[in-house]
Amino acid sequence: MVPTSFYLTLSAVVFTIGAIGVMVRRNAIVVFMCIELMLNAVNLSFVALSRSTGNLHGQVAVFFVMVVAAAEAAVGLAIIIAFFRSKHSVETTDASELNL
Amino acid sequence: MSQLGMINEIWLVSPLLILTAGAVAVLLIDVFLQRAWPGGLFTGFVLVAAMYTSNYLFLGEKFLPGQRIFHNLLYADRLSAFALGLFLCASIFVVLLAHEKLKQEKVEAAGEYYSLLLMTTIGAIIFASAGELITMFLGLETMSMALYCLCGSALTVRASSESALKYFLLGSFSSAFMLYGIALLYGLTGTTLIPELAAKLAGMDSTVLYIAIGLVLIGFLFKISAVPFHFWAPDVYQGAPTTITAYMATVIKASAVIALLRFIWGAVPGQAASWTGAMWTLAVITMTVGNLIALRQRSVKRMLAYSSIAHAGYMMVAMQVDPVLQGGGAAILYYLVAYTAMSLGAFAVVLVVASANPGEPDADEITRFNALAQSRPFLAATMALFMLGLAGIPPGMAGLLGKFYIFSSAVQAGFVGLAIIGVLNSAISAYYYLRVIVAMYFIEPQGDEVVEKPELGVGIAGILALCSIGVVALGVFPSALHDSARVTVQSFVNPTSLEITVEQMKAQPRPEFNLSLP
Repeated sequence: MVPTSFYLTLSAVVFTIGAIGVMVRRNAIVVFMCIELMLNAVNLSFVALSRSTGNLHGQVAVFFVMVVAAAEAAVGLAIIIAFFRSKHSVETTDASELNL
Repeated sequence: MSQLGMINEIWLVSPLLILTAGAVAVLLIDVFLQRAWPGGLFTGFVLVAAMYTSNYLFLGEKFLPGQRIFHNLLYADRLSAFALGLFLCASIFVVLLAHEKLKQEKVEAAGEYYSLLLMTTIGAIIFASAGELITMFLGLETMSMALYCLCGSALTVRASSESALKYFLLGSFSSAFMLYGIALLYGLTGTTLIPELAAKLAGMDSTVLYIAIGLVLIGFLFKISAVPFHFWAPDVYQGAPTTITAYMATVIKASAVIALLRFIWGAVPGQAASWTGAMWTLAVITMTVGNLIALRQRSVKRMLAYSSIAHAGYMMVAMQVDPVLQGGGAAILYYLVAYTAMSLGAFAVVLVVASANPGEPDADEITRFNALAQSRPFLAATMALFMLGLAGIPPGMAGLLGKFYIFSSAVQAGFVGLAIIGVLNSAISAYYYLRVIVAMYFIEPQGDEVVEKPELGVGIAGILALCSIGVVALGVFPSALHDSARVTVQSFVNPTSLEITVEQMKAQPRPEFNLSLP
C-alpha cells in the first residue's frame, strides 16, 4: 500500500504549483485554472487523509469541494466574459483602472 | 442534538428557508413580469418575514447555548441569533437603498440583483453559524460567489467588471488556502466539527498544526480585509455599486468576524498562545496601514474602504483577549453593531451624493461634498455624525464606546502597548474623517461650478435617521446591547456553564465609561 505521506507530498507540490501560477501568470483564465488546480490538490489530501484517519468524512468533503469548484467555474467564466466585453482583453494587467 | 427532532430543527432554520424561497421567487417573478414590478419592495418584504420569524424564535428562547442542529452541522445558539438579527437588519437597509437608487447605480438587471442579494445573505448566515468547518467553507463560498456577481452587476460601468474580476480571483485564491488548512486539521484529528476539534487538539503541539491554523486564518483575514491580505479591498469597494459596497462593509465583514470568532475561540482555543503573537503584529499593521493610506485618498468611497481596513484592525486587537473574563468577545460584538450602523449611514450618504452624477468615475470625490451643508443640510448633518462616530468623537457615541470597550479589554489583558497604538491610530484617523466635515461645512464651491443637488428619497432619509439614532442611542445607552453581547459570548465560549440571564449578567462588573477619563 502506498503510504499516506506520498499522497500528501504530491498534494502539497500540486498546491504550490497552483499558488505560484496564480501569482506569476497574467491571463485571467490561466489564473483561474491554477485556482482549480489548488482545489483539486486539496481534494487529493482529503481522500488520502480520509483513508489514513479511517472515516469517510474526507471523501464526502471532496464532493462538496467539487460542487464548489463547478459553481466557481460558472461564476468565474461569466465574470471573465463581462470583463472581456468592457476591456477587450483577459489580461489581469489590464485591470488597472482602479489603482492600488 | 438529535432529541430536538426534525420538525424543530427545520423550525430553527426557517429564516434561511424563507430567504431561499424568496431568492427563487424574485428570479421567477422577474422573468414573468418582465422587470415591470417593484422587486426591491418584495425583497424587503422577504427579509422582514425572515426577521420576524427569527425574532419570534429568539424571543421564544429556542436558541440555546451550544445547541447544534442537523447532525451538529449548524449552531443554533445565541451567537447565531445575534448574527441573524444583525445581517437581516443591515440587508433590509441595503435593499431599501437599492430600491431607490438602483437606476443611478447603472444596474439594469434588478431581479438578478435582488435574488443574488438574498443568496449572499443566506451564505453569510450559514458562514456565521456553521458548526463544522466544511459547512463553514460552503457558507463562505455561497456568500462570496453571489457577491462576486453583485460586484459586477453594473454591466456598463468599466470599474464594476474590473472589481468583480479582482475580487473573484483573489477571493477564490484565499479560500483555497482556507480549504487546505481545513484538510490538514481533518488529517490531524479525523473530524471537522468545531467542539470535537477543540477537544482533540487540546495539548497538541506540532508544526503541521500551526501551518493548518495559519492557512485557515489566511482565508478569514482576507475576508475581513486585514493587512497584508487587504489589496483587493480598496479596488473592489470603489468599483462595485455603492449599495454593494455598503453591504460588503457591514454584512460580509460582520459575518467573517463572527465565523473567525467561532474558529479561534471554538476550534483552536488551546493553541491561542501560538496565534496571538501573529495577531498582535497583524492588528498593529492593519490599523496603521489602513489609517495612513486613508489619509491621502480623494475618493470618499476609497477612503471608507481604507477606514474599514483600519476598523478590522481595531477588532483584531480584542481577538487576542480572553473572550469572557476580559470582555474581548462582548467588545467585538458591540463594535460590529456600532460599525454597521455608522458605515451603512456613511455609504448611504456617499450613494446619494454620487447619484447626482451617475456612472462618472469621480462621482464620489471629496470635492463633490463641498458645501453640502447648504444644499442638503440634513444629509450633511447625518454624514458629520457618522464621520465623528467612525473617528470615535462625541456625539458619535457608539463609535467612542466601541473603541473604549476594545481598548479597555486590551489593557485588562495586559496589552497596554497595543492599546496605546490603537488610540494613536484613532487620532490619525480623525484627520481624514474631519476632512469630509470641513468640505461639507467650510468650503465654498468654485464660482463657475454648477453644483448638482443630489436627490434624497424618503426611504433613504428614513435610513439615515434610523442610523443616526442608532449611533447616538447605542452610545448613550450601551448597557442593553453590551450585556446581551456578554451573555451571547459566554454561552458560546462556555456552553456547558449554567444558563446566565441578562439580569444576572448585569450584576457582574462592566467597564464603565467615564467622560472624565484622560
